[in-house]
Amino acid sequence: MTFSEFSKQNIVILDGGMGTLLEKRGIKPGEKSEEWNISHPDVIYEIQKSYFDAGSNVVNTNTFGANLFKFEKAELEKIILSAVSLAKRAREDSQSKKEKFIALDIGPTGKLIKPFGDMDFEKAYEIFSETVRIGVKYGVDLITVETMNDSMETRAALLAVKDNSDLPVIVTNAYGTDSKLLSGASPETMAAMLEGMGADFIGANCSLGPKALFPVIESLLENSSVPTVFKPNAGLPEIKSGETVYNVSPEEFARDVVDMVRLGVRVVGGCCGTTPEYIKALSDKLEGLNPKPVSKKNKTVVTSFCKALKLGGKMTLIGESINPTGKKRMRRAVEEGDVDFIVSTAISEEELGADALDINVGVPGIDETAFIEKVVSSVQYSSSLPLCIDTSSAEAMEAALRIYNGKAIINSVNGKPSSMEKIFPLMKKYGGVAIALTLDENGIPETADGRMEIAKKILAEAERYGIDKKDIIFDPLAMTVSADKNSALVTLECIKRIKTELGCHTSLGVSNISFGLPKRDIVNSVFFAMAYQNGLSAAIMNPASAEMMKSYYAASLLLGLDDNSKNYVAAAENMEIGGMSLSVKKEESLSSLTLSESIIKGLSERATEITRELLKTVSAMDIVNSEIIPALDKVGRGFEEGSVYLPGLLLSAETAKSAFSEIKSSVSGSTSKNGVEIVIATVKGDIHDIGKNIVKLLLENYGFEVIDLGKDVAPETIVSEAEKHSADIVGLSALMTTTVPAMEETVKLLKERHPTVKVMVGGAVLNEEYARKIGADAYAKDAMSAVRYAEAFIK
Amino acid sequence: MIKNRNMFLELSPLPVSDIEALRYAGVRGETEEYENLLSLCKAELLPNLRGLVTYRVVDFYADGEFCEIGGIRVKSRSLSKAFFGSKSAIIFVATVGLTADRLVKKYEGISVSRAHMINALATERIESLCDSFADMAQRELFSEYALTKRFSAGYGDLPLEFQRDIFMLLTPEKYIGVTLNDSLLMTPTKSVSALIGIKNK
Repeated sequence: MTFSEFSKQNIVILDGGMGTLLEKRGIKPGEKSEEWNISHPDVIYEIQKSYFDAGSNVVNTNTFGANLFKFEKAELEKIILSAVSLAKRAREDSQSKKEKFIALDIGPTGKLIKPFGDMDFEKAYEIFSETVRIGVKYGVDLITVETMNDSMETRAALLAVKDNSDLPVIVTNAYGTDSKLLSGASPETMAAMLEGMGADFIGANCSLGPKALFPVIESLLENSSVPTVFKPNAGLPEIKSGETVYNVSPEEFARDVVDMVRLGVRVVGGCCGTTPEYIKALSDKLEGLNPKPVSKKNKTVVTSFCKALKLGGKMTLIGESINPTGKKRMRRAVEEGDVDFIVSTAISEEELGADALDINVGVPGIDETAFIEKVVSSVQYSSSLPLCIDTSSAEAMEAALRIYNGKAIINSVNGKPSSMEKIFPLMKKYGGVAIALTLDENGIPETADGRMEIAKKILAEAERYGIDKKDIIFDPLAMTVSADKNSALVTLECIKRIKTELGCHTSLGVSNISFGLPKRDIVNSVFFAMAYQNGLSAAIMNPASAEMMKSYYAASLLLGLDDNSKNYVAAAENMEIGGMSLSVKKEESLSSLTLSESIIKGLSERATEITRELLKTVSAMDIVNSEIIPALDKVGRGFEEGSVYLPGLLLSAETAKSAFSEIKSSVSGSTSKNGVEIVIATVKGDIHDIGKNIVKLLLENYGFEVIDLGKDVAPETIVSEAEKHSADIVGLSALMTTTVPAMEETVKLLKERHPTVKVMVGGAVLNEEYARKIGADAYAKDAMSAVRYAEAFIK
Repeated sequence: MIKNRNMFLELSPLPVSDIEALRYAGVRGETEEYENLLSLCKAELLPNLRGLVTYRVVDFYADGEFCEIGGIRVKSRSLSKAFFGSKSAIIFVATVGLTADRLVKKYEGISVSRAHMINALATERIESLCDSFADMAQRELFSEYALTKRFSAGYGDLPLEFQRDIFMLLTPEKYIGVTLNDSLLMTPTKSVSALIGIKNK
């Protein structure tokens, strides 16, 4: 019987802890337990046999940390071979009458994936792939990915398993007392993401005792359509008369775990602190208990790294602002690779009430694949909202989905075979919910019947790939009423029929309906409300449009989706009837401030407003010279004298930046650059870059052209970028004594290849003397001194 | 010899000291105009912080020049001096989690003042977590003994490389998700590793 067959009929009993038992048998702290497969094979064999004897159906190989980070390739192969052989021997020798299987055990690498750590996602994927390939070669029945506390690393491991084997896979994560992973994901998020990627069993292990994990397990049972796994610790470790003991007894453990089996858990076992005694108690208690069938949850769920968003009920608003089409400022940001602008747009869409964010960076002439990857990597952690990856390039789509930490909305697929052939395999591999446009090689049918036919065709094809219809959202397409007076009616009919006849959700790019008409917001918002009433589940729209948001809050209220009118009342406080904008409360007392004063006080919004007003009458140059620069100078001097503190300096600098940006968007060409080019970077190996970012902000304020290479930058890259931009100055930052050598190496290489460039350095561990010693031209003790040094180079 | 196995726990946070947080941000005198910024940062950061600690108690021996910590020999006069009289030590790693890193990244390109203040506030939080762990250890684990101040790799002449030994002894990546990179930086960055000496009163 295969493991899959067995698991369909039975409650599966896994094994218990390994580390605890090895410590009892004398393993020393710091010793790699995987090495014991070779140095102490009998101990490992004996422990594994005792688990089979106690009633385990599955025993993990002793390979938790068996990966290329910890072992050389040849050694890794030996360790895994030995681990699999020992588990097999234990299985053969055990007298237990139960079905017995062996799982290749995979734990976390111990490194954190970028951007928060320094490991590339692809590196993690490669590391896991190697372990999987070796394990599969030596013959295991299934694979366990366990104790993962980062959703991104879990993704890398699962992807490696799926790409390198056909075996069933159990994925369990380590949740904290807040029922979240360290990286922020909730169980609901993990269930959606892992199920989408093809995990066969999803659950929780380690970190806490059974009771403390009940909320996690309950949430998994409610949200996952695959069997739930529960492998908790024997409570928490306590010191009792000099001995470490876990505070949950075998009986209590078994009782608590079985309580969850009664609720529907199908796979159980123990983690830290549990022993064969615990598994025996569990096995005894499960005797005669029938497994509860696993029910399919027909929920359409997308997620960010931390949050799950379920479609249905209240309309899902997908912010459309990150899309260069028809948006001059966004187009420029995409062309210039200005990720910061995109991030700030994302944050403001979230604040305005969007539930998800569309990401479209398609502009001719840019490398869309590279740029969408960069944008998704940044936006996915700057906002807590799920992303909707919007591109017509399959390559860009794959790049974005691969590094997306969650279950994304895929925008879009359509009824053309060529589209489905590209998108469905990506969906199957990375998970996701696709927006399916009801068009095909013959175009967009004029009638609702025609669009319904295409929808059915898409569903049938999706099914062939094993994609559930819950993961398809149809976009029945809104065509402008200015060209066809019935077009809105056809779309509305489709929305209704897709919901009732196909049982699927729908989404629309609402604004197309008014193309070519004046005052489009009026038409859009009314159509939006009509579509809402007809059952539209999601809309790609502009959350900054007051008309749309008014319509949204009012329609949600009227459709019975706003309990106690709470959302409407809260939103109404900021609504202006008759006005076109949701007003931001203005502080009247601020209106008398000048631009200069606003900068000194760090009032960004006020400064932007005044700048906009001033630009009507005053030249850009005059604003810069008579308002902004004097204010910056005053604050800068204050900082140097100690009367202004760093946060104050930064607030003023940001305010000046927003004034500059206002000027930049109204005047073409550079108004304020002083001609000095500065390349800055945090050196190789160092991932702290807040200091460098502070310096960058200040330098930009003073008119320097700053090329920011980011953090953890290799010496060669810094040198070649300095050459490429003919930089006058290179600024380097290092926070750790361990990364100063990388700084020294960079300085040396710069001086060798680019002797005219001046190098200034800064960072917590440096001082004047140290800076000279490593060959730098200048030491900047803070951001203002960096500015002062650079000022000497203004031509 | 190791006295006990790896322990891990989650501590509830103590109230934030605004003055400390602002001090980490570089504010020395009048704090009023920065309080608004601080409260915005608190609202975003505090609800998602953790208070994770993993530790174990190890034998400690020092001869003025070298120290032996859980069987690992390291040259450090300053640690010898600071832990004078200690026969055992607590070795621990604590973290407030990844949210601070995420929020600093969120704001790095769009509001450095916010990133800077969140960073400062998170520093106050991790320091406070270490203090509350030390208080707990004194109160609940070693009330019969006197505990020294905490001492980290990189203090005095205790080499930063000792971080590797701490990680080898504690495997915090497994218990609380704290990892060490090749430059000996911990991530989440708001994490602390340290030793506390235990001596007779």
